[in-house]
Amino acid sequence: MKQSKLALTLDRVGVAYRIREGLFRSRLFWALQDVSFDVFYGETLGVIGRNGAGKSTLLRLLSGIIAPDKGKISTFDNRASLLTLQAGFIPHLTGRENAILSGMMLGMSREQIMEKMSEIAEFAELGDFIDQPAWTYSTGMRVRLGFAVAVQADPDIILIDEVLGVGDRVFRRKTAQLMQEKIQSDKTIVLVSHSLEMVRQLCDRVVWIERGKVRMEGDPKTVLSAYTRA
Amino acid sequence: MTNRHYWSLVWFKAVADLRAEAARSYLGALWWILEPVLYLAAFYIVFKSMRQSADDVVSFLLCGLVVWKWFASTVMQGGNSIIRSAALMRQVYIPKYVFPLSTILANAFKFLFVFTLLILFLLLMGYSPSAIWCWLPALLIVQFLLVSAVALLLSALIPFIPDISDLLGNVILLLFFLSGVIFDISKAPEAIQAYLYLNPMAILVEDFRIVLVQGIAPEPVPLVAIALGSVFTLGVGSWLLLRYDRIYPKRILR
Repeated sequence: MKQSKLALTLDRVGVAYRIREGLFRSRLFWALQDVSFDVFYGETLGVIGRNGAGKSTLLRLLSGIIAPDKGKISTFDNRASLLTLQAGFIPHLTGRENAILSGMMLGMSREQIMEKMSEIAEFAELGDFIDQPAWTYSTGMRVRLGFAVAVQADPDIILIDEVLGVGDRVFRRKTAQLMQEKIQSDKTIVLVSHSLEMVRQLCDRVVWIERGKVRMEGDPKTVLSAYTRA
Repeated sequence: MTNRHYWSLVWFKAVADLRAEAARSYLGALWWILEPVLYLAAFYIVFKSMRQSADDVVSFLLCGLVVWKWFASTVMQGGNSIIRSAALMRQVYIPKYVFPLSTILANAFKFLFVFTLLILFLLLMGYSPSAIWCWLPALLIVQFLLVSAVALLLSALIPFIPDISDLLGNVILLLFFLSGVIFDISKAPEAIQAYLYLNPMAILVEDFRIVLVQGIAPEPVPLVAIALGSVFTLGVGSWLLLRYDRIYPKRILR
């Protein structure tokens, strides 16, 4: 088993949002309450749950965008970030400039991105368009560039929120293959998905979240069958 | 990730925003000059039709407008910089100070560009540089501290009190009329002068003007007071931004 070393732990974590109800009145809404689970090095953890169960809040918590209001989250100095396409893209800048800007937002240094630029342009299949402004791009081109940059960012823990199906068929196959490689390699991945089939195929372990709480945790077969029965 | 990384992001984002702004229109960066010139033209026409004096009015207005514009645009854009970045904040963790700081920087670049043109214009008009112009770096630094402080503090407050953002345009307009951009405060009735000088922008507009146009040295005490107040405000703003760094996304997302 590769499940040995902890990559990330959540210890009785709660996240509350303040909901305004009047001019000076508000109440707390607990999007997550008392959530505890571990993520181990090299594993692919699936997170399932219905709409509004707290999955997006969980992803924002894991990526450090928001802090917990209760409990503790430890990442052991690992950098966890959401696989994000086109973070910070500005339509009037060229593909190259956007790649640098977006890459820096995702934590890469400018030099790192410049080094990888030809790789990025090639993966995104942009050719000479890399020096054209991004507003001239088709949706597909923008998405491909976004993906090419995001893949380079390569954090310690990759958080994925159903982005595997981007671009046209050929590009989809390419991204799917790349993600497969990452998943099968020693990368630590947290995958949030509505597609139970995908979770079944890709994940080593599954956490089922309901109304902000962990309803069940375990191997995919057990959790998924319980989930479909519920 | 290190602070150094985020500082280089501040820098790159400032440059990228400027480049994008220049690429947005046909005339591009030329607008940075055209805008104050058109602005000036409007006021010039109004003033010219009201009274007959002319040339001095141009340099008088231009100094005030250029200096004022730096304050107004930095405060407007910087103050709203965090709420405008909501989409990005949802996707990646970025320290919130990056947004106001890159806006402050971009506006400072733009100002320096326009300010250089102002100096050239004054030289063309026959004003000659004097030793008094050595005050300019000090004035620039004090105003940079002031605009940064106000923009940073507002950017930290607006996510919690969005109403400030709605008020801001009106307050800026009011301050425009109170800062002596289009009239000379030193010629205003004594009774209200003292009140008008409580506004730091009134002091800076006047100081830039007397240094550049009249060749008179400004009074140092008010400038030091503005600088100290700004540094204090910068401290408060930075503290808020760091303290609520991971709270802002929760406030703005919904």
